[in-house]
Order: sequence, then C-alpha cells, then structure tokens
Amino acid sequence: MLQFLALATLAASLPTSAVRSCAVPGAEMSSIGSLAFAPDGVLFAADPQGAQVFALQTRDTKEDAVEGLSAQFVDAEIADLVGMEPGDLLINDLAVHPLSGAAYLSVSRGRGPDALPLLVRVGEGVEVLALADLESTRAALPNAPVNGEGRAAFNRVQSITDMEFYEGRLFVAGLSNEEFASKLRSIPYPFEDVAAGASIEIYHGAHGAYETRAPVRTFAPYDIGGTQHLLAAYTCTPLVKIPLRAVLTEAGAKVRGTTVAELGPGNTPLDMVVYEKDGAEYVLIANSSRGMMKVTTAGIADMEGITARTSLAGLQYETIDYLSEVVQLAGIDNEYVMALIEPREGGGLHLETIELP
Amino acid sequence: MFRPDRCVLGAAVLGAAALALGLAACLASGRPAAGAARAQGSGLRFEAEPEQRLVWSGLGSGLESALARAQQLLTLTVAAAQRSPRPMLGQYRAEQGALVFVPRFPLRPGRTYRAVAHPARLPGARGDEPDVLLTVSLEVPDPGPRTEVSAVYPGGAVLPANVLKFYVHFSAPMARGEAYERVHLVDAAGRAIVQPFLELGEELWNREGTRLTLFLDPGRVKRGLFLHDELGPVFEPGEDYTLVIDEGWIDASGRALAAGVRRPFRAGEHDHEQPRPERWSVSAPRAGTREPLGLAADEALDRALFARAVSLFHADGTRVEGQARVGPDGRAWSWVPTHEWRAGEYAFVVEPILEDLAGNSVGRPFEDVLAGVETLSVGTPGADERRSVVFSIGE
Repeated sequence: MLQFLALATLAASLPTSAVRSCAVPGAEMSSIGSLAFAPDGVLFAADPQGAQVFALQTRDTKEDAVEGLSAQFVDAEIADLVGMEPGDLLINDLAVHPLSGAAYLSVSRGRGPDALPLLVRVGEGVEVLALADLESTRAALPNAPVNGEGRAAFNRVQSITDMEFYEGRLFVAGLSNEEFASKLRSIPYPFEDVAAGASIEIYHGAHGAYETRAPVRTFAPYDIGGTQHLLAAYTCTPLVKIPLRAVLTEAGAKVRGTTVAELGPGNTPLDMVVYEKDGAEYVLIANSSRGMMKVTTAGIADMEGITARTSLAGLQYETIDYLSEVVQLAGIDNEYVMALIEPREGGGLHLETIELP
Repeated sequence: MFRPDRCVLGAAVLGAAALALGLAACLASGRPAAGAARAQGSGLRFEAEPEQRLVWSGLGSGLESALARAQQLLTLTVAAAQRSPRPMLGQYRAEQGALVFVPRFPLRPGRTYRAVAHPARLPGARGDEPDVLLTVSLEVPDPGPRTEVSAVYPGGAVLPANVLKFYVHFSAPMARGEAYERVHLVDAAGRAIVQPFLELGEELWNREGTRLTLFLDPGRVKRGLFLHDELGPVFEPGEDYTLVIDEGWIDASGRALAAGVRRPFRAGEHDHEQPRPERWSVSAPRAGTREPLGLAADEALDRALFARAVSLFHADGTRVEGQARVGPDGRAWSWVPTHEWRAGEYAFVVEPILEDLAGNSVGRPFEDVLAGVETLSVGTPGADERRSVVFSIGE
C-alpha cells in the first residue's frame, strides 16, 4: 500500500516531457488543498492526493503586519507570475496568518492530475512561496482498509473538505471518493506519529427517525459555555454542535452531534467564521446558493436539537446580501474577515478585508 | 566595462511591431530535440531543451553588474489580450555575454508567451533603441485521440431509486473544475433534475484524473431529510432517467471530449437492505489449477469497493495472493490466484465498508433506523467487524 502511495505521489508531481528540465517547486507535496493556521503561525496544508498533511513553518512575524489587505484580480496576478491564464488555476483555500495578517492561498497550477501545488502569500504584494524551502513536518492520513492489490487501491482518494487547529490538535474533515462516510480526524501537533489521530464518526439525529452520516463540509472550533465544541456545517445544510470531550480522550470515538440549525435545502456551506460583536456571538457562513448567513448563537448552549420536520429551524440567521459573492472566508479577528470574492459580473477573483456584519 | 554588441543593436532597429509579425512562423517546439525560437538578428532566443530558458546573447562582457536590475532589461510574460501581465518568476544569470532568464515554472504547451528585451536600457545604449519582441509558443505534444467516456457505473438497466453514486471513467486525464456543469440527470421528458449531486469544490477524482465519483445529494436520497421533502427525491421508482455527459467537457490537455454520452436507466424500488456476504454463492475452482474463483453477490455492489474490500485467506490465515476482478454488473467477483489452488478450506473476508448501490454497507445500512429520538444509541453493533465466510476447494 505504501508503495502505491509513493508511486502516486511521484506520478502526480512529474512534469510532462516538454517541461522536464524546469525545477518543480513543492515536489514534496503532490497537491494542495485546505489550509489552517495555528496561533503561532504554523501553517497546516492538506495534500489530499498524497493522503497527508504538512505543517509548514512560515516566516511571518508581527513586524510584517499588513492591515486592510485588498488585492483585485488576485487570480490574474498569480497566473502571470507562474505563466498561466487565470482559468488554468484553481484557488482551493484561503487562510490569514495570525501574526502578520497576510493572506495565504492554496492554488493548483493546472487543472489536470499533474497540476503543481502552489502556496501564495498576499501581503504587500503577491508572492509565490517555494514550498520545498519551507521547514515542514508531515502526518500521513491513515487510509481505509483494502486488500492491497492492484489498481483498486490506487483509485481511492480521501478528499479533505476542511481543517482547523484547536487546543493543540489539527482537526481534519474528509470524504472518500468511494465509501460514503463522515470522518473527522484529530491529530495532535507537533505530529508525534505519522499514523496518529483519532477517527471520529459523527451522527446527527435531527431527522426524526433516521440518523445520518453525511460528510462535514466546513467547521469551526467554538467554546460553548466553557465547553469545547466544534460547530460543523453539513452539505444539506444542518449546523451541528459536537462536544469535543469524547473526541479528545478516546481514540476511534463515536460522537453524537446535536443539530442546532437547519439553514435550508439545495445548498452547500463553503466556509464559516465564529466571532463576537457587541457582546453577542455569531457564525458567519458562506454558502453555495444561499448567500452569506449571519447566524446568532444565542441559546445554543441549551438547545436540545431539532427533531421537527421543518426545513428552517433552530438558531436564527439573517442573510447579508452585500456579501453574496464571497466564495472563501478566513477569520482575522472579531472586527474583520478576509474574503475571496467572485463577482457575478466583471470577472476575476478579489481578496478584500471586510468588516464583520 | 559593459560593451553592447553594436551588430545586435543594429538588427533590433527593425521595430517591435514588425519583429513580432515576422516571428509568427517562428515557434519553438516543446518536443525533445526541438529547435529554438529566435528573433532574427537580435540575439534573443528561447530554448526549450535541455532547459527552458530565454537567452539574450551578444551583449558583451560586464553583464554581471546589470543582473540586479535584469528584470528591467528582459522579461517573459504570458500573452494576454486584455491586460498588461506581470513578468513570470524566474532566475537571471549572465553567461558569456548573454543575459539568461530561466523561468521558475515551465511554459505550458499551447499557450503563447511574449519575451521583451530593452536594448535602450543597457549600459552605454543610446536610449532610443527599440524593444525586441519574441513570441514563444511551445507545441503541444501529440495528444493522440480525443478523450472519451469509457464507462459509467453502476451498470444495469434498473438502478435502485435511492442509488447513491455514479462513477464516470475516462480514457485519459480530465481537467477539474467543471464536473457539476458537465453532468446532468434528466427525466423521461428530458427535464433536468435540479441539483441532484453532492457538489464539492474539489470534486472527487482518482489520482490519475480518469475517474469521477458523483454522489447523489444525500439529502435527496435519505428518508426524512428536509431537502428530500422540499425538492423531492431525485428518482421515483418506475420512472426512466438519463445521465447526460456534455461533449464540451475539457480534458487535462485542454481539449473537449470526443463525444457526449447518454446513459439511460430505470429507477427500481428503494433498497434499504444491507449486503449479506453469507448469502453469496461461491464457484470453487479445481485444485491444481489457476482457474478463477468466483463469488456471486446477493445484489449489485459498488464496483470500486468490491474490487478492494474482499480478500481470500487459507485456513492457516495466510493470504491467497492474486488479482480481483469485478464484473460490469457489480455482482460477480472473481479472483485469479498467483499460484495454483490447493485443496482445503478457505475463507473470503469482506470489509464492513463494502456498499451496495444505495450506500448500504456490509457494516451498516445507509440510514440507521432509530427506535426513537429518546433512546439514541451511538453506532451500530458489529458495524466495524469484517465478515468471514468459509468454503472449501476439493481435490
């Protein structure tokens, strides 16, 4: 199995014959997806093709701090630097450095399986970092059981839908391209063992008589009344609070989440940020088809879960119309959030610092 | 002392526009042993082999001192119609009277790039020398035949109404980023079903980019989910549907598919039953041969999982080496052993993750039916256990 993974990594990072002579940056990573920062500036970057997560030492300090960051047509600017058209790039995730406030973007240069992983830093300017030059450690994600033979094992990929660092642990939500299961892994950092990490199965029993194991799409750590929780948004769009106590103490824990809101059908949540404003706490959620939601968390501690069959229930939210074109969100502080905006007209992708609603 | 090569500068007086036009037929090739693109008489050329690099030669000695501001002298950019692109990243060096630029990222075959040299900015220049332009376009290596949809699974004319996923196989790697715009489900009247799939920005491809997994939106498959109630289930039993794949879908080389594909099927009854390996039938081969061993499942299963979730063991617990094959219907599984079969007892072992077409796995049904919300139990007893079924091969 390990051999197969190694081969896959190699195959994905080899350039075609026409480009073999050029240096291949980030040769250690075969792909780049979700990003998450630890408070001290360590950047976690997912490599779903390589079934691994990297912890990268960034060099930003507080002295580098940028405020009110804005970068228009950031996709075109990155494309120029790496010799592509904007349409040849996929911008996978956005995170904001906790010390410098710089925006980090994970980008695929190319759309095919031989795409090169790029890590882009947007501060005073746009900079394509040399991944291979960053000091890093790595944690392999345990793969699913297989009979270890032939191409069957080769085809399986664990996509990573979101990552968050919380209380010394990296939480990784993923979805296989074969079996349908909700898996959330918790990996202690510094990475102690490449195979370490509890696998958590999340159920939410909000739908009357049936339990679901739908994949977590995006989540955020959240302290509810002094108790650690994860707030997770699923694909169809229940918002679920998950107590972390069991997760942190038991390997292979199975945890029941409580559905605290139903945010409506026909929708995929894309990103969420928890923040405090005027003495109240809110969750800002970017969505595929229901715009930007500002969810009020008042009463979340005592909620027993939604069991009635209504599509919109639980915590109340308002839709923030002027943020409807946001496709990626990254928290900065309690006042501002970084957003990647894809306008319906005019094209391009733009980074903007936005005051939280 | 920097001494520009007067001959080169003289040649560059051609003028930018004329030179660019004159170079239209002067394209570098991305193939091995290809020649270089060259702006005639200017000393500016692009070399594709052995290393992609832009070379401005004939500049005389003393170039090292100009390296610090090399980007003011020589740039390589993507050729963009609508804007002034920023120069590509790369390294500059001075080599025997030539200024060399090595791009950090390889030029993409099929795209057009533009090199610009500014003789007027060279030390000792008169200042009115016109820019030298060179258009570079690497030839796309022979891409062979157009990519085709080679298979769509599950197979079969009738699929359970709560079918959970489709696999679309391609003959060559595809480009990510437009899967959900290129695959549609339509009903018998040709009406598109709204948002049938679980849409994930990263899309679910295998490593080679040759197989896409499409999950039906679980909210429209599960019983009791709100989405199911509002938009209705994706499929109604007894109705006819077609999975439609657009011809315009782009592969990794940037070309559209050879043809679109329509995969019609009828929705059958819902399937809430788990696969039961103990009901499978075994076609045992003869000892002393390498004939395949066959398993016939009690229902159609997920082919991808079937291929890797079943293993064979000897009675002593050692693994039977060989290769699994799954039939197109997802029911038949066969194993060709590396060595001849020996008479004796064997077991096939099934991982709990193995699913049927509706996502019911050997370990647990797709939906756990709860006795009541007050008595929630977490997990399903036995859900993580492998199933082992013993059989024997006679003399």
